[in-house]
Amino acid sequence: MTDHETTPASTSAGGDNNAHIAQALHQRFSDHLLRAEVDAVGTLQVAVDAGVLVEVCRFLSEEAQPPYPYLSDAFGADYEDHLQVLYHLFRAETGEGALVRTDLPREDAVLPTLTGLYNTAKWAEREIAEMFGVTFEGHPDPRKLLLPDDWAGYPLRKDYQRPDHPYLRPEPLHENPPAFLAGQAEPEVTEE
Amino acid sequence: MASSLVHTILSTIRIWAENLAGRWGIPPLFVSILAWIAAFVFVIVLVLLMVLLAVYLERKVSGYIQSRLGPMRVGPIGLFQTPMDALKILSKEDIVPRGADKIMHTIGPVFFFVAVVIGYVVIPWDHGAIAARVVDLNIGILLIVAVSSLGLLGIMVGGWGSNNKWSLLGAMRAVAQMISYEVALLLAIVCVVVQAGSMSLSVITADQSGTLLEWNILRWWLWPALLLYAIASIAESKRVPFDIPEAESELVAGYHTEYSGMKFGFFFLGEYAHLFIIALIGAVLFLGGWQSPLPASVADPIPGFVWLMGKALAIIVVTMWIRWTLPRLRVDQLMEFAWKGLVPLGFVAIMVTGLAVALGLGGGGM
Amino acid sequence: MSETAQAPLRTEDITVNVGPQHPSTHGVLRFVVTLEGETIRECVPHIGYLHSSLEKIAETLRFGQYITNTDRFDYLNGLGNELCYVQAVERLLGVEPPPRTQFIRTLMAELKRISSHLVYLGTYGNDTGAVTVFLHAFRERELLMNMFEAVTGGRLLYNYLRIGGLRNDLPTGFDEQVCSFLEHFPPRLEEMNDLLTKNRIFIARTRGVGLLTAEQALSYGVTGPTLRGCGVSYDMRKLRPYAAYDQVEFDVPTFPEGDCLARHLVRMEEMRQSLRIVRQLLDKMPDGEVQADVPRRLKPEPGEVYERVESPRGELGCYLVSDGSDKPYRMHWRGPSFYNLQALPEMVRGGLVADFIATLGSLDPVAPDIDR
Repeated sequence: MTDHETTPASTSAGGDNNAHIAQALHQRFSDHLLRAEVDAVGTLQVAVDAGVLVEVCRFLSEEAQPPYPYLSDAFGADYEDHLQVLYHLFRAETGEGALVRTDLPREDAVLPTLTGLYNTAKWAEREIAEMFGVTFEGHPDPRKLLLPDDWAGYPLRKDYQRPDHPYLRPEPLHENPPAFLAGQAEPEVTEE
Repeated sequence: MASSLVHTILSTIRIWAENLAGRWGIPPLFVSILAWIAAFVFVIVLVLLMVLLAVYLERKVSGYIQSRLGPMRVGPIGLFQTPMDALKILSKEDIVPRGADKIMHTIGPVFFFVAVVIGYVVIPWDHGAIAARVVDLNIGILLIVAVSSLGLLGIMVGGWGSNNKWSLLGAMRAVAQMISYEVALLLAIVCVVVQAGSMSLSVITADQSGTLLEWNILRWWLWPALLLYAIASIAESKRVPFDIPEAESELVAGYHTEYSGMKFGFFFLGEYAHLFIIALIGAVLFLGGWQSPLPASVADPIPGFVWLMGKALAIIVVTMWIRWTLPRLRVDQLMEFAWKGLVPLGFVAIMVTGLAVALGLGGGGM
Repeated sequence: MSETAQAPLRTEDITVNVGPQHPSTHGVLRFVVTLEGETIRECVPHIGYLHSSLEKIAETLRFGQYITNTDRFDYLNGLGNELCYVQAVERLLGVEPPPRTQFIRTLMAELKRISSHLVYLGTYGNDTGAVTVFLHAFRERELLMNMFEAVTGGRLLYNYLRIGGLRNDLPTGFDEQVCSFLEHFPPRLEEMNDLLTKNRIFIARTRGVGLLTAEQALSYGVTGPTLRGCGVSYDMRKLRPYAAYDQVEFDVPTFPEGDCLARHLVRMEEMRQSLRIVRQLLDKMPDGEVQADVPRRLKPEPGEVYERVESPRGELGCYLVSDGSDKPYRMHWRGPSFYNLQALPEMVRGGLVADFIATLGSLDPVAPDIDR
């Protein structure tokens, strides 16, 4: 396992390639690119402005040498002062991945859709939209995916309040709840 | 010696009825009607017993094939499981879905069941003068085929009347399948009819009398017909690999999705009754009916009734073996198989049989 | 939706609900299928019935506490999910588990893969109408369940892996148990293969059905046996070896046809390859500790990881963000079934109802893995 990090020859080569791609990205999108670098395990990390997201992804999937032509996963994260949406691009031959991320404001969070580039984004973006309240402009089918159609609020945001529901009582159902149950009845949402 | 058990029962009923009529001065026409009703009741009881047996057998055979035991708890080796289930089904609530056509929904299963049961009246159970059957029609086999196709109406009516799309799909599939395979089935039957020269099931049985070699299954010119009958009869009884009308994994339960209680029971009973009659006909057409396989010189202590049942059960076990082994065909493959495979084979079978009979190999009209 | 053809006979599309309660939806799934006769015009999946908010729950539990939840979403691959999560946390912490641990983890993941594929085999037989295969497959799975029970105490939900190690070492006699399984199972597998895969009806039902090209599959993010059934040799175990996968030899089976049969054959072959891996792992199993030194209260440095492993259904991803506290700040699961299912409408359009069931079964979806 000591040779775990070094074994796949492709990783180091991929690291070189990724460094080239990062350079190319810097040249091409200089102002809008916040970060493009290769991390410790050889993954290409890219952070961009929402405005050039589509262009960067198109560059990565078509022009980069070698390209990252496919999207394997997309997901969001709530950092309280802003939201982040991450896209995991990959290459089928080597299994290498690239993480493209973009920050956006919590209020009025709008992103261009990537469904034109990747079919994967169809469901992934719908999930992010309902869980984080991000609007994907141009999405062909912007219905809710996992949640019921009339669901209010965005459950994966940090400040999400659980809706009133007969089965979801705010107080524990026990008469004299043990301390640990009572303590956990109200989930700690924010960090201390 | 082997006095026909069935014959005895039927004649007893008739004599009893005639005596009763004589004493009370009831017109003879009425007596005959009463006698027919009694005979029909007898047939239904017989059918129900057979169905119970078939269901039990199915559970045991599937258990054996799937390396498990099958029913074991109710009664010795689970013998009473099926009667108990039958009682349970009688006590279940009868649910008619909202929006269903109540009349059609009720008529469907009854129609299906009756159509199947009518076929039993012409089966020759045993030897005997008027032989042991309720009626001896000279077009017996035709009656069975004609009436059992009427059962389709019951399926269609029930499936359509259920106001459920799965039921409708199942019913459509059932109709398409059964009409197609009926053609093949008929072609197979025609071969045997050509061989025996009659459509009466007792004549067909008599045609195979003598040694074992006279059985239709051992007459090589009937082998295409045998193959055809084997396949088409499984399709007719809607069993795997031809169970697409009720394909559980696709159509939930097909045309009987919306049925519960005894209405479902009628479909269920009808299906097994159908299976049994198909096996009985198979035994009559190809396995010599009630005749004993033992040579004539040996005195046979076993009544013909038992022989016929035994042969039918053997056929049923084979269909169960097939059922629990094979996957299911797709609906288009099924139709293709019927019209492109079986029907041409049927014509070949008729030609082969016809030639054999013309050349004097076969019996050809006793 | 009723674009009625201008035929002399008025025809109408019918819309049927496949699920949420249907015999072959593999959990609580719902598809609204528009049919023209028996032909499928459109299929719209409706998911979310089993959403269990695993990502939100992670934010309320400490790193070590969450392991027990990972068993629960893809319940056929409990130990594999644990492996993914535990590796992600270990990468955050910078902890390297001892070699024996890596071997045992790999061993359990591979046994779990066989057991998952056996469930697939059984249910797929059921989907195509061959009921008997189901019971035969589950009979063999029972032996695996007994092994898991011997090691972890649980049959479906294990809570066995620990951050930096395992809860306990293998019990005595486990080697013999696995060895007897390795002897006993291959002939049984071939028997099931004869029963289903070599059956002409089964081949007729699956060949050319549910077609997916490699390009389509990749653009939908389809992974696992479904992608390998399109001829793409994409397997995390081979491309980016984790745990002890770099210590064993195995092949990644691919079939180029992209139909249900190809996916089926991939899974059958994967079971044989998994047996191969298990055998090698047993032979090479090192001695030693099974738990690395890990602080009692885990507080990883702020940072993030995206860990990927190969689950029996495809690429299982785990994104984990730490803010320096003892709980994950954000965690995300990439459920392979979620993306595999997304390609289903593409695969079934124009097929028959029976093809729809055959195709859905060939994706081997696990409903909680879709909804998480």
